[in-house]
Amino acid sequence: MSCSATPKHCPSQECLLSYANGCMGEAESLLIATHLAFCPHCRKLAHIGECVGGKLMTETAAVPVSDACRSKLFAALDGADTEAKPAQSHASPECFIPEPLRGYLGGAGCKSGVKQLAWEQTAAGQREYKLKLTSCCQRRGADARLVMLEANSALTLPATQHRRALLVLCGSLANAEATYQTGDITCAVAPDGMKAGTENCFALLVTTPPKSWLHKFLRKISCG
Amino acid sequence: MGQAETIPAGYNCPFFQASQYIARALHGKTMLCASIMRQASTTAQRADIAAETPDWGGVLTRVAAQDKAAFGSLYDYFAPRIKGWSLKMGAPASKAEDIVQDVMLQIWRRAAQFDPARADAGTWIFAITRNRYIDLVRQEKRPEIALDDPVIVSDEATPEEALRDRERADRVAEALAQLPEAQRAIIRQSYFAELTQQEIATQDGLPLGTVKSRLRLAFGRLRELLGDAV
Repeated sequence: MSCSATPKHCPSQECLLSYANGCMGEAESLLIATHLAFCPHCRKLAHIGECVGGKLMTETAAVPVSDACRSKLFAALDGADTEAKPAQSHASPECFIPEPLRGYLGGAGCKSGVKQLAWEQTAAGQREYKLKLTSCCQRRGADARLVMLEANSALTLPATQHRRALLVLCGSLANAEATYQTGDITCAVAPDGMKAGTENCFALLVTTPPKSWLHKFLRKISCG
Repeated sequence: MGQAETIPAGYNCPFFQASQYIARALHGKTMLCASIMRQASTTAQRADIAAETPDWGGVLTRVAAQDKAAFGSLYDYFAPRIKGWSLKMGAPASKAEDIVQDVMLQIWRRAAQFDPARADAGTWIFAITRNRYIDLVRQEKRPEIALDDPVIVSDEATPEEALRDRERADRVAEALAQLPEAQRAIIRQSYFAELTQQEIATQDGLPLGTVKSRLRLAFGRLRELLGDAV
């Protein structure tokens, strides 16, 4: 793995909170969850959000449940399969794409596996692979794709009213303001000025309608 | 890591530091008293809570061994709360009990996966409820980190930090109790009905900017109460 340092460009606290409490949609959640795989610090903040949720739910006002609900459930218990602890997830040592993103790529996580995906050339030195999100998420106008940018190539994106965020998975991206490396998130995805570093760059690009949480919450905050 | 966010802007400015020092000196006595009283009350509260609340983690361990009586006690406590929570989230009344059944069945099937070192029972049940709600009501997938994925960057926690992680749920409960009611309310609101900040703003009649900064302040205060090394 090429990444040893933890990310410097992280989502805001409120963004992590809305991921933890489940208000955030699938595409944005995929971006945040993949960032969490690279960022132990943000994992702790998201965990606080889940602990708060656990506390609030335990304290929430009880609403009576029908007897039918209880008897139906208990009748189903005997036939229900139980799941043991999940097996350690498989990843080769060359694997650089963590879960949950790897699952969206049919398990492809290393460079040779990623190569087999049905890439589409979208610009010079730039290829994209569109991820399959649930249809509800697509209907909302959200989109997620893996972007492969050849070394030193400029990122080319069409103009849109939607909001975009990029998560660097491997290699680096830079514009006049900053350099983004593995695990870093940037919302500054202007079609101009963003360029790959001296090696090929893989990134997750998420596009959401202007009213989403991503639009409101993603802020570049330095964790470093 | 992350320290930069918690230090207020201007922290290094000598005037800021001096004013903080004076404020601390003036209020030191009151704060000490308040802190002693708070400690006393939380210890008493904790004793009460311990007396009233069963050890749900222990109950889950029994559920993992297919103990239906243990599952029954878990159901009697959590099912009405899962229903209440789902309705607050915005689930249609006709679907609320389907969610309860689905969540409780997941608990029965996956109790062996509950790991007390990673979460307390309430947090674990909350996460299942959240994910099933997203699946059944919003009909979306919930992408989640796999903590056992060899690709993830591990945090190389010291034994002390690991202990802090395990105790986080307890500390969160205490920190929430210490939060001023207005701040607690705004955090609570952010969990329900998939409210966007715009909607929270409309309900309270507050301008959006205020809500945003209040939520940020409230979560920041919660982190402060949890100590720096969250």
